[in-house]
Amino acid sequence: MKAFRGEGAYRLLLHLLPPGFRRDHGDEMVRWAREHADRTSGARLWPLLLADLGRSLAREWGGRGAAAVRGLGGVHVALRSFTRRPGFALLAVVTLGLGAGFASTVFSVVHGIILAPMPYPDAHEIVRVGKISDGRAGILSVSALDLEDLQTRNRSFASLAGSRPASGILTGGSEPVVVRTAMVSASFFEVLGTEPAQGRRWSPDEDLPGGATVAVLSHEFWVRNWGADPGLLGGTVEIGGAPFTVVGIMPPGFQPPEALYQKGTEVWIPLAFLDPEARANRREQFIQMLGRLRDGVDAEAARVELAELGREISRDFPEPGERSFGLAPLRDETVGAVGGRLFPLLGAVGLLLGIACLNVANLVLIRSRERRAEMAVRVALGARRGDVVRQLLLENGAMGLLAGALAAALTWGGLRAFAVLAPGELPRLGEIAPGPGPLLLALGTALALALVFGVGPALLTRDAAPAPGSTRRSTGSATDAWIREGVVAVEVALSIVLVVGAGLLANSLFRLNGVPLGFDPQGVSVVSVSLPSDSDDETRAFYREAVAGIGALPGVESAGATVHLPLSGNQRMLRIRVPGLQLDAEDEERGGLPVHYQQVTPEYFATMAVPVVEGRGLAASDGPAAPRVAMVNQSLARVLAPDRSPVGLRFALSDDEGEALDYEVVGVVADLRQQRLDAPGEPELFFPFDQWPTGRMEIVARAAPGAPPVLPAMRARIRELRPDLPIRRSVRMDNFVGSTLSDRRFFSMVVGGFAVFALVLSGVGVYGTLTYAVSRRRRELGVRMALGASASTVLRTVLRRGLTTLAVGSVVGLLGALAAGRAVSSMLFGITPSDPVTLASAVLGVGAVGSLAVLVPALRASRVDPTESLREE
Amino acid sequence: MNAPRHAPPDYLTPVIYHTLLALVAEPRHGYGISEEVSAMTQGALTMGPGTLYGTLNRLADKGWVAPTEVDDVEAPHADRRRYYRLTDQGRAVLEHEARRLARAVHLATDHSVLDAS
Repeated sequence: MKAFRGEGAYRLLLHLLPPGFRRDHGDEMVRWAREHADRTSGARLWPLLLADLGRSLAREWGGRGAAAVRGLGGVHVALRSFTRRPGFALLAVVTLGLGAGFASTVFSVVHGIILAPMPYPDAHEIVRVGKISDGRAGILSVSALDLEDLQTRNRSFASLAGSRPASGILTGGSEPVVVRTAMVSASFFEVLGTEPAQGRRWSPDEDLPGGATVAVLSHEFWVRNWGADPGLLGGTVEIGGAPFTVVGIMPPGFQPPEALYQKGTEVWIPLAFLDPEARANRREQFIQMLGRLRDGVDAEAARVELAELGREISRDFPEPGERSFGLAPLRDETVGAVGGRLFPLLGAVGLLLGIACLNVANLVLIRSRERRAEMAVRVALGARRGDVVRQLLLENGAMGLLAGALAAALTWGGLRAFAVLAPGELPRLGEIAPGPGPLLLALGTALALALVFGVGPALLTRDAAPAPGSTRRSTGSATDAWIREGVVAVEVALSIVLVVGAGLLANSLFRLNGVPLGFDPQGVSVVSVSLPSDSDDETRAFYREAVAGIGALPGVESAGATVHLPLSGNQRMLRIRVPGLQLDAEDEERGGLPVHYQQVTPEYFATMAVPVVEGRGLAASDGPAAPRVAMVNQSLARVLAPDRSPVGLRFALSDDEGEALDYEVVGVVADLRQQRLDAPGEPELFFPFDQWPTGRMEIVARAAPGAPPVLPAMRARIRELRPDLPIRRSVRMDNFVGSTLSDRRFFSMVVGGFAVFALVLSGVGVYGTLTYAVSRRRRELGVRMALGASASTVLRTVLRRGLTTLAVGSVVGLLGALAAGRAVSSMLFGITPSDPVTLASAVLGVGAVGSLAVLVPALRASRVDPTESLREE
Repeated sequence: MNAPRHAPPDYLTPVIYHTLLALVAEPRHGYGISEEVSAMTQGALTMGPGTLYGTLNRLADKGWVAPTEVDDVEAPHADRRRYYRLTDQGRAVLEHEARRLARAVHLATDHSVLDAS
C-alpha cells in the first residue's frame, strides 16, 4: 500500500495524541488513512482526518487534560493575557516564527547538502579516484587502460568502477525520449552498495569488450515511461539505435553520484560499449572512477598506494607521460565549491535569528514592566513565586508553540521553494525534502527560544517587582533603560552587518552584469550536437553542411561552431613549446607552456562578434591539407610576445614527437570570457576545426536584428541532416549568459530578503522601545511642559535618546560588517568587503528606518498635553 | 445468555452501537469496520481513524470486543493487521441495546409517531 499525500505531516500530527494511544494505534491509523486515500480524493481525506484528530484529541486527553489544566493552573490566565494584548502576542509570534522558520530552512539545506552522508550504504568508504594534476583542482578522468591497470593492481579498494556519461535517444516506449545514459563497469553498483531492486545488473564477464547488450533503468524512468509495467524487465529498448535488454530496475529514489557528472542519469549500460579505439588509447582520458575502500583501509593509505601505482604504471607505459593518481571523498567532490557558498547563508540567517530573539526579549522586557502591577497584585493575593514563574512559562510556551507552528509551515514551504528556485548547479538538491526532521527543528527552535528569551528577561527583572502600594507609575529604573537600549543597539548592529552583506552581494551581481564579455550574446542562438564516432572526413562534412545550412536560413546573418561555449566553464588544456620562451621550472619539466584550446570554424569569431585585432582570422582555406595554423587570444599574445606582434610565431605541441614547429600563429583575437564571468581571460589557442575535427560541437548563429526566433529552424536543419542525432542543448546565448549568474542571483536574493526582514525587525525594536519609554515618561514630560518646557525641547530630548542608540548600534555594526566581510569575500566581484559606498549606504539605510521609528514616538511625546497627563494619575 | 459483567449502560452511542453491529457477522480489521459501518448507515456515520481506534480501545477495555488473530493468506506476514471480534459479553450488550431500541420503536408506533406498516 502506498503512502498518501501528506502522510509525513499526518504522522507528525499524531504525536499530539497521548503517547500510549499513539504507540498502540498510530501505525494502524496511518494504514487506515492510506486505505481511505485509495478510495477518496485528498480534498476529502484531509478534512476528515483533521476533524477526526480534533475529536480524538479531546477524547483521548479527556480526563488527563482536565487534570493537567487544573494542575498547571493559569492556562486561562495565559490565554487571557494574549487576548488582552493581541498586538504584542502577534508581533512576538510572527517575529519568532519567521526567524526560526528561516533559520531551520537554511540549516536543513546546509545539512542536506554539506553535512548529511551521501545516500549510499557506508558512504564514507566511497571515494572519487583519478588523475591529479598540480595545475588543476579536483580529481580528473583516466583512460580505460589505466582503469584496468588500477583495478588489477590495487590492494586498497574493495572495488573500483569506471563511468562515462553518454546521452542518447531511447526508443521502445510509446515515443522516443532523450535520456541521460552512462556506461559503467559492473562494479559501479558494488561501489555504491546499491543493487537493482528488480532483476539484476551485469556481471564482470558481460562488461568485457563485445559484452552483453543489457541495460539497467532507474525506477522513476521506468514508471514515467512504462507506467511501471513489469513486462519491461527482459524486454528490449533501443538506445542510440542499438537494442538493449532491460535486465534491472534500480530502487526508487536511487540517485547516481553527481560528482561523476551523472546527475539526471536514468539508464546504465556496460562500460564495454566504449568505442574500441578509445578503449585502447591511453591518451583518451574520459573515464571517471569511483572506488569503495576495503574494510580497515583508510583514505590516506589508499592515497599512498595510488601514488605508488601511478609511478609504476607510468614506468610500464610511458606513452602519455607521467601520471599521478589520487582520491577525494565522494562527498567533498560532490559538494565542491558551490556548497561552500552556503555557509555565509547560514551566517546570515543566524544574524537574522539573533535579531528576532533580541526583539522578542525586548518585547517581553517591556511587557513584564507593564505587568509589574498585575504580578504584584497576584503576589499580594497569595500567589507564590512558583506560581508566577509557571504562568510565565505557560504564556511563553503557548507563544512558542504558535511561533513553532508558523516556523514549521515556513520551513515546509521554504524547502519546497528552495528545491525549485535554487540554482541547478547546487549539488544534492534532490536530497532536500521537508521531512519531519526540519519541521521538528523549526518547532523546537521557536519553542526553546520563546522560553529562553520570554522567561529569561522577565526573571532577571522580576525581583525588582515593587511592593504593593508603591506608586503604580514609575519611570522604570535606569538599569532597565540601559538594558533595553543596549538590546536595541545590538539589533541595529546586527542589521547593519546583514545589510552590508546583502549590499556587497548585490553590488557584485550588478558589476558582473556589466562585465565586458568579449563577445555579443544578443541575437545569437546555440544548438549543440554530438556526432557518434564518425571518421574525421564524415565529421568535417557534417559540420560543413550543418554550419552552411544554418547560415543560409532566413534571418540568420552568420553561423559558426566551437567546441565549448564562452562562460561554459569547460576548458581543455595542452602544452606548447615556443622557441626562446622563458618557462618556469615546472612547466619546463612538463614539456611546455599550458594553454587552453578550442577548435572553431572560420565564421565563429564573426558570428560571436569577437574582433580580430591583429593578423588574419581563420579561413576556409585552412583545411586538412593546408599548413597548420592557429590563432591566439590577447592574453596568450602578451605571454608569447610581450613587446611585438605574435603573428608569424611558430610553435609545437608538447605531445608531438620531434622538434618540428608545425604550427604558425596567424592572428590575434580579443579575449572572451571562456571560464566564468568573474574570471578574466586566460591564455587560449584556437585551431581551425577542419585541421582538427571533433564530434562534439556547439553551432552558433547570429540572427539579423528584428528577425523572428531562429532556434526552431536551426533544430529542424540538424534533424534534416541527421534525424537520429540528439540535440544536447538549444538555447539563446543571452539566456545562457544569464543562467551562469543564477546562483549569484539566488544568493543575493535570499540574503537581500533577510536584510529587509532584519531592517523591519530592528525598526520595530527601536519603535517599540522608544514608544514604551515615552509612555512611561508621560507624567514626567507633562510636568516639564507644565513648568515651561517647549514642545521642541521635549522632541529634542526624545530624539537625542533614540538617535544615540542608533548611532552606537551603527558603529558597532560597521565594525562587525568589516569583520564579517571576509567570510563572503570569495563571493564578491570587483568590490572589497570594506567598500566605503556599501558601508555608508547600509548605515544610511538602517539609519533612515531607525530615524523613522524614533520620530513617531518623539512627535507623540512632544504633543503630550500636560493637564491630560497629570490628570491621568 | 451470559450476564454482562458490568451493568449495561442505559444506551449505547451510535458509534459504539454500529461498531458492535459491524462485528456480528465476522471479525474485521479497523478499516473493515469503518467501511462496514459506513455501508450499514449509507454513509450517514463516518468514523475517522482516531474515533475508530479510540472506540475499539474503550470497547476492548470493557471486554466487549477483543483483538484476534486471523489467518489472512493474502496479506504478507509483515503486513498482518490486527482484527477485532465481538465477545460474548459484547454480543449481550448489543442484544440488550437492540431490544431497548425495538421497544422504543414499538412505543413510537403505539403513539402513532410512526406508521405501523
